[in-house]
Formats: sequence, C-alpha cells, structure tokens
Amino acid sequence: MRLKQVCPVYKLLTLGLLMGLAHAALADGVTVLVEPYPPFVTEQSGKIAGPYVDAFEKIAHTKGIETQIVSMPIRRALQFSQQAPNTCVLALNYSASDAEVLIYLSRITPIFIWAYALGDAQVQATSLHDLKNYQVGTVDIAEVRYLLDGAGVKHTPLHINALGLKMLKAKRFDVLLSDLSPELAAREGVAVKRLFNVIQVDRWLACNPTTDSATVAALREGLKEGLFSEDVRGVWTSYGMGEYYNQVRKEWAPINKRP
Amino acid sequence: MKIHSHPLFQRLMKVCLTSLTLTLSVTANAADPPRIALVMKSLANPYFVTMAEGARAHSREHAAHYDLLITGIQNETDSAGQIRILEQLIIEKVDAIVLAPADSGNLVPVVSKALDAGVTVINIDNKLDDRVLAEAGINVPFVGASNTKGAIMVGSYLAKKLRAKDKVAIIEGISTTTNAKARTAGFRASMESAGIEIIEIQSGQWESAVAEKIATEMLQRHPDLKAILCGNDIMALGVTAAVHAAGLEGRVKIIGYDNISPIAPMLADGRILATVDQFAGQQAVFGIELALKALTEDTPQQDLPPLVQTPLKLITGQ
Repeated sequence: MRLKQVCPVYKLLTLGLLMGLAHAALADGVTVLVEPYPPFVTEQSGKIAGPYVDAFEKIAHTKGIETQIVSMPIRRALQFSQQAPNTCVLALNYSASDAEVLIYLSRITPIFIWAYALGDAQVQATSLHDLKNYQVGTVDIAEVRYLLDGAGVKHTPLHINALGLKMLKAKRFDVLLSDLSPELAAREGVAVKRLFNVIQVDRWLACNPTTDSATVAALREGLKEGLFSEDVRGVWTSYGMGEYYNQVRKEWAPINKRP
Repeated sequence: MKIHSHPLFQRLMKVCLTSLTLTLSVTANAADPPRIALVMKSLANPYFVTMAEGARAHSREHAAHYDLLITGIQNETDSAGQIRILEQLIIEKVDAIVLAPADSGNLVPVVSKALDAGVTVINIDNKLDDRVLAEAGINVPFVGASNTKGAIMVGSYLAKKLRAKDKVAIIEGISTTTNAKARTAGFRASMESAGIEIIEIQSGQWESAVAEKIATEMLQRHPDLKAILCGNDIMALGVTAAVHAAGLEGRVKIIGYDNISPIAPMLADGRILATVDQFAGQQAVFGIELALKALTEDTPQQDLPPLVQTPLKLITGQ
C-alpha cells in the first residue's frame, strides 16, 4: 500500500528529471537516450560509457553538436523520445511502428543475429525453414520477426533479451535467435552451439521528428560511416576492440560500399 | 469524439487554413498557379477513389490557387507503373507531388530524382522506408495516421469479442510496405495483450482475390480459427466471401482497415466486425496543403516537418 503511494511520486520525479534534461537539450544540442548493452554501452556507478557512447559523442562534437547521454531502458526511451523535442535514441533497432513516430536518421552499427541451441541438444537446423520443427524464442527485433513471419516460423519474442539464455537453458524453447556471442553465453554458464547466421541488421540513431533540420543534417553527415569512421578508431582501440572495429570497417556495407 | 472536434484535426485544420491564406496572397499575383500532382495507388480501390474525391473537392474550392493533377495505378503491386508516372511528372515540371507509394523502398530513387529536379514531394498514406530515405540522405514529409495505433484500436475491439487462447490469423498487405508491417505490429500487440494466439500471417497483397484464396486455405487448415485480421477492407471483402463459402459466417470474425464504402452493409449485418477510418479524403488534402505551404513559403525540402500525424477513428457496426 505504501509502495503504491510512493510510486506515482517517484514516477513524477523521474519524469521531471527527464523533462529537465530535454529542456536543457533544446538550448545546447540533443539529449541521447541509450540502453546499456555491454560491452558496447556500459553503466557503472551511474556513469555511462563504452565505445558506442564515446564514438557518438566525438562525432557529434566534431559537428558542433552538444550531447547529453542518458541511460534508459529502451521501451521507456522510445516513449520519452516521442514526446521530447531534440531527443534521440541511440542503437535502436528498426521497426515500421517506431518509424511512424520517430525519424530514423542514420545507421550506427551492424549486429548479427544467430540461431543457437544448447550444446548437447539434438537440433538439426541450417536455415529458417528448418526452424518450423522447433520451439523458437527470439530477440524482440522487428526485422527478425518480419523474417520469421515470412518463413511461417512460429516464435516467441523475448521482451527481456537477457532472459533468452536462461529460457534456452530451462528448455522453454529449442532454438534461440540472438545477437549474443558464444563467449558471453559461456560466461553465463550456458554451453551453446551456433546453428546458422539468421540475418545482419543495423542499429540506428532515431530522433524526435521535431529535431532541428540543421542538427539532423549534421548528424547524418557525421554518421555516414556509423560509429566506425576513421576519426573514432582511437575510441575502439581504447576499449581493446580495435579488431572488431577493423572487421566492421571491412565488412559493413555503409563503409565498404562507399565510393 | 467526433472527428471535427478532435484536437489533432483542429490543429491540422488551423495549419491548413493558415497556409491557405498565405497561398491566396501569393498565388493571386502569380502568372500561373502551381501544379500539384496527386499520385495514388490502385484506382480500383474505393479508398483511393475517396481520396481522389476529397482532393478534387478541395481543388474545386481553390481552383484559382493551384492546378491539381490526379493519377494512379490499376494494381496495388505496380510500383513500376508509379515510377513511370513520377518520371513523367518530372519531365512535365510539376511543382509538387503528393505521393501514396505502392512500395516503401522502390519509389525512393525516383523521389530523389524529383527532389533534384526541384519538385517538392510529400508522402501520404504509406510511409516511405526511413532506412532507404536515410541512405538517399533526403527528407520526405509523411502526412498520415499511425497505422500501428489504428490496428491496435480495431484489434483491441476484436479481442474483447474473443477469449484468451483463441486462434486467429492475419492477412497483411504487401510485406515490403511500411503500413502493412505497422498494421501487423498493431494487430499482434492487441492479440498478445489479450492472450490470443496468432497461428498464421500471410500477405494478401492488398487484393481481394488474393486474400480470398489465402483465407479459403487457412479455414481448411485451421477449422478452429476464430478470427481473421485483414490489413485493409479490400482484403476483408475477399475474406468475407471465403468465410461465406465455407459456411462459417458468424463463427469466424473479420476486421478490416480503411472504412471503404462497400463494407458499410457488412458492418451493419455483422459480416465484418469493425474497421478503422483514416479519412482518406482529408489525408490527400492535408498533403496538398503542406505542399502548397512549402511552395508558398519557399521552404526547402529538408526543412519541411518529417511527420504530420492525422486522425483515426474506430468504426463498428454497433
């Protein structure tokens, strides 16, 4: 009962803080909301960091745009960014529904979705169509769901991605479609095997549609190579991810297909 | 709430009237009024007939201020036909194009070409794909309703008539179009929140005959199907025929989208449970008004508002 009385006040305070951030962003640049996504976006003792954050800030500042980075769960970030001018969401997956309320400005990074099964599971699947025979859980990314719908594969989207491994381990489904790495799975104590690469999709910077057009143009220009331009090589190497940076530069279409 | 008292509608009308006043003052002195082309999808679809009627009525009322050209394609999937139309309009040097694209991605290169030629382009009805627009580095304002919200509206109404764990299917529009995907997402959200199982999703290509064939097969495969959620009313008409042929009227509920006139008797007698009105006639007018405002004020394309939301209304037989 007491909690119920406290919650609205807490929510109001949070809302007030966020509105304050948005108001500040109006004068100085953009407020950027991002969900922690280790090792690319990390949050420790209230400080948000990681190569996505540092690279974005460096690119934006080069273009003369001030930034305020705020850590926020993605669903709340989506709701908030629709209401607050000059507010963007960093590392958002594409969805037709979100494109009706936000403007997808620029690709910032690729992610690779793989099909996983438990290491000792008797799962034989090398393509999407093979998944029709199994219980499938998937990261809740619209582009992956479009693909599964098109192939007629029944699936359960995970509203909390972090639960995917636990649910796979508990055999709630046979196959997990996810962007996690086998190394991360091993750290969680779950032995998995990769079955096949499902799709490569991109993560985006998406902004409130009232964002100033000059800011939009500057961000688009600065992010032509996502968060992997030559200018931010040092950011990636400082996090010990130089090899990953080089691989993306070599393989990602927005960079390797540029004239 | 009536549409005319809807705050969003009133706000949009205020913008429209302001821009119209500006248009009147500027074009009164111009030698030739601007030429605006309305390019629609299938002219066989009553939804686009309504859209054309709305635009025509507006242009008649403001005949001195702009010339309206109305064109479209015969088949919902004919994006190549729309591309040819746009190529021709660029050659004819129209001042603005208000476009309801048949495909969210394929049309972007020719839209980009139009912008390069100095033509103002406004997108209505089906949003061009942001991913392709970003790649082209262009801003094309979208004037229209949120398909996701509309689909949640009508899907939630259906959910109240069903029980948790009931089985339903979705027949969506052309899968590469933004509005088809957004409507499917809205249908899905409304079903999932009610615990209703979606057992199949297929594309009916926005066409009645295609949807009828798909529904006939679905009804054979899933005799326990309780409802079919259709991405537009044209497909709902085809599904209604399939349900009738299978002798399942009253047992399989149908919802649509668009509120086209041929479904009025079906809403009345319950063959179709509900649909969503997104005011086709008004949508074209909003697009034309934004184009006129841009031309009048000489606003660069990149400075136009990227999103202008228009109203929606749930329509039921009750």
